[in-house]
Amino acid sequence: MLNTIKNRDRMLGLLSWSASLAVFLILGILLFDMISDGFRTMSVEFFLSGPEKAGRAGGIAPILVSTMLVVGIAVAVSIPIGLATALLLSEFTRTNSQFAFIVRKSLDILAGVPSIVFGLFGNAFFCVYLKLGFSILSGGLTLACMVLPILIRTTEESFRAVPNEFRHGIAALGFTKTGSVFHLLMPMALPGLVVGTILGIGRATAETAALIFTSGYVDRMPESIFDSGRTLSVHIYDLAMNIPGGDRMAYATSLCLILILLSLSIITNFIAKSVFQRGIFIS
Amino acid sequence: MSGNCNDEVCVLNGEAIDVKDLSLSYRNRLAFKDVSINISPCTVTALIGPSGCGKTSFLNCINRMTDFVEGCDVSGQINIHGNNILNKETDVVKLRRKIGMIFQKPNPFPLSIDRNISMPLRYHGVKEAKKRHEIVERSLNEVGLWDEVKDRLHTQATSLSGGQQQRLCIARAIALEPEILLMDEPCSALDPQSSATIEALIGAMRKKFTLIVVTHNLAQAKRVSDKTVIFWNYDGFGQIVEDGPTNQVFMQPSNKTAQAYIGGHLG
Repeated sequence: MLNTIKNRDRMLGLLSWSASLAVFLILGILLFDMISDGFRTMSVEFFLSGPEKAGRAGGIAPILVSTMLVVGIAVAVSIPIGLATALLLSEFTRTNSQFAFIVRKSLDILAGVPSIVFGLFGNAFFCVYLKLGFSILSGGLTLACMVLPILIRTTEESFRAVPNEFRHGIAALGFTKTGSVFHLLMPMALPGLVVGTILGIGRATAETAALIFTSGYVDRMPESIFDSGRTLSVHIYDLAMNIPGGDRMAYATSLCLILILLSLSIITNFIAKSVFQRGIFIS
Repeated sequence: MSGNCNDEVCVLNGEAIDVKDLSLSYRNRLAFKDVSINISPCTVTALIGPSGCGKTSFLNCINRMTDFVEGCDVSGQINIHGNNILNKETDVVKLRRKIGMIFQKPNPFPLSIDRNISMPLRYHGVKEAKKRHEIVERSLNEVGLWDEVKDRLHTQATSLSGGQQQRLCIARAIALEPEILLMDEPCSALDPQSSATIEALIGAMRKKFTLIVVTHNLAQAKRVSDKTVIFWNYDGFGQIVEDGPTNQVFMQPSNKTAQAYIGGHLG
């Protein structure tokens, strides 16, 4: 009897150990592959010059610029909308509000929509209907739509995490609702907003499908946000799928993308750990 | 700031409160009914009685904190400055500016000690930093906290002890120079020593404000208050069973329930 139990425990232990090891190995192999192949190609030149011979040679400077512009637009558009919606959901609606219920449900559905559908929507709405064409602006706006659900939910949660005793405490001091939002709730929810934004940036930076249809393929240095521009993920996709002999550059670009995402996640963790635990502290 | 204090020791701006036939229900469940009390300026009124008889709900009506409770319905009159503050037209923000509130659980904001007091001051128009510092120092002095914290005004308020936090909350409220101060069991979360400090503080503040203190502690009510009101739960809702000068309520209560409660046989 005791032996069977012991054996079962051992089995479960072994199973979970090997599963965890597998997860670690997947990451390890992926990173090793990328670093060993990509690192050789990376150089200062790689970051400063444009792609040549359809990307087989040269660098990724215009791609980096386009990526930054697309993500920048997505963030600049989604933060105000996201913050306002999160505020409405957590502070300006009653708990059983029908309207808030509908908004929340829509957000959950939006969060589950595949990115290629966002791409088609972005193409139909921004590129064609609003006549923005294949442009960095169209891409950024489409990404903003995609990032909004995650941003709103994270921000709403961080507003909700503020205990009611503070809301009542500040109201009892004669603060208006707006006053309490700006003087207390917003600073208290700021870490959550930052984390939500960074998660959103991560998702936006990693996006391919939605951008193929909206910001396009052009790998020239963009002159304005109305130009088409190619982001890192799209560049990787193109090099890997359409350009024979583009593998080396694809590896290097992937490494660059992974490094960006990795540093974003480290920053997020850092903010979450340091600021959440200490609470806000403005002296 | 207006004040109609008749009392000679009243140096500031305590305001009278006249409550008539006040009833409150949560989602059609009556919490208390037909409460009428007359509270003189610059006095301490203790509200005592068992849990669930509507003392805290009553307190929350006076600065309209009841607005935050969904499904809460208040009827009757609360006259302050001759206006019924339950009127729809009442500017609740202005009202709460004049009526401070101390909660059962100390609730300093997660800011520095200094900012806890200076942030509301700044919000209410004290733009000059020097003036704010003066008020911060004065308020902390009044609650006897200045000497304890003057060297660490810029550390987190939440690092203070429970009793210190509660005194900081009182300092924060009185920095805005309210006319009325509502205290909802201000000592219930505190140790005996901190309670004694706060009791002494209540005695000192009576000269300046009209105080209403909810307490479970009969001895405390007897020590600090000028007037005592006993709430009791009859027929499922709270009502006043005894109301008068504290001495009289404790020495010769007229109501049977009040007698038993004061005598320690009930409650």
